Amino acid sequence: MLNATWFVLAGMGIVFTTLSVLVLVMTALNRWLRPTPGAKDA
Amino acid sequence: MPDGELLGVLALTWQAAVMLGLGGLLIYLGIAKEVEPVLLVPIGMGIILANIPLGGLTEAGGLLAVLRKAGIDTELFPLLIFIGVGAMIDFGSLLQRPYTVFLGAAAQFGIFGTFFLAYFLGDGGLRLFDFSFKDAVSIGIIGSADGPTSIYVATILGSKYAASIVVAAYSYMALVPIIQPPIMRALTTRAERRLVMPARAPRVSRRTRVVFPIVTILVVGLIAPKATPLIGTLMFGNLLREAGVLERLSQAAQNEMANIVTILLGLTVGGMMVADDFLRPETIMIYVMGVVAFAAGTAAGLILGKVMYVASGKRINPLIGAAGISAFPMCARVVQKVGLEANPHNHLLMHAAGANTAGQIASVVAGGAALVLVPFFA
Repeated sequence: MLNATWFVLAGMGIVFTTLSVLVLVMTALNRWLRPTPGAKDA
Repeated sequence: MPDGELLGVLALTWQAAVMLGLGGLLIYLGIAKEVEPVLLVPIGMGIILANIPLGGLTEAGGLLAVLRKAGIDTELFPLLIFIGVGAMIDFGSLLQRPYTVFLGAAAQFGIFGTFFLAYFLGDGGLRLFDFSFKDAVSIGIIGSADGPTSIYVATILGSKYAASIVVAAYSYMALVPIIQPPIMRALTTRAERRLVMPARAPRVSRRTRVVFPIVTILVVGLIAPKATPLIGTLMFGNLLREAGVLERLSQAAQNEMANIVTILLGLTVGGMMVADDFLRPETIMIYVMGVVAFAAGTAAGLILGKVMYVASGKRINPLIGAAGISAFPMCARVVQKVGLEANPHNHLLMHAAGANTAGQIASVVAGGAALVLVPFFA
């Protein structure tokens, strides 16, 4: 079961790592590509 | 020609009769009770067609065998479905509230926790059931609450329980409104459930919506490459939706293509449920594991929601964590309903939708992570 434990930890690690990067990307996109005031692109 | 080949009834076994009854039950649930009819009716019909003795549909060259070879063994059907799903999903709520991504991530514990339990009951510990490491991973994927991902992972891993796993995954998605609320009430206080979150959120530009699916493919694909087919098709569908100049293709993906593939996929999955493979103790245990998977995912999302509730100074309602499993949009609606029960002015739908769409991405990442890791640990 030790390999199963490591599998669980590694799996959740990959999920959180990937989605943490995605949060950074979304935050950056929201900052760099923010809606232009008055524009209809929101 | 032997006499038995003229009359199917002479070749009817009790196991096949049970499967014919099960097919009828799914069709009944779909039509009379309106439980996921789009899926259960084709699956039910597939079961009936596959289990009529001497019908030949599952033998080489038969309709169901051809569909299985073309659409399941090649992983084509789930990927085509994902283009349609991507075209249907609005990631706006997620982009407005990026932190909800973590709720989707936490809810994937349903996959890995269930894997651990299945493996412990199988080859990894008690050996009560014939669950190998790969079978246990495939069973855990039910916790993704995501039919296409379940089919994709179970097929690639070559699990002998793929059909049962897929049917369990789709069945429990329909039961989300029954499974989740008791867990939500048990793990949160009334004061937490009553917390009102602000309805207004920052605007998201169209440019962000267009760039998001492309960047997501790059991020997920580069970290968990085995998830690329799933995230690639999902986000391609979403790009069709958000591009603004591909309305015809977006509508075709959401309607014509998704509907046609759903019919073929449902029939094929039903056709995989032949008596000899399906009527085993392991199948019943897979259904039990399905409940465990959904419950564990819900609980993990709620627990992280409670952490966020405390860390944010009581500004985040922990209920939205329950929407982290990717059954979209049912989970978000359940959160809205339970929130309204506690406080009639509490509208959590958009916040929960953020976590729910995050769960869709997270379940794909988890499926890809499982595929990447299996060769190292199995």
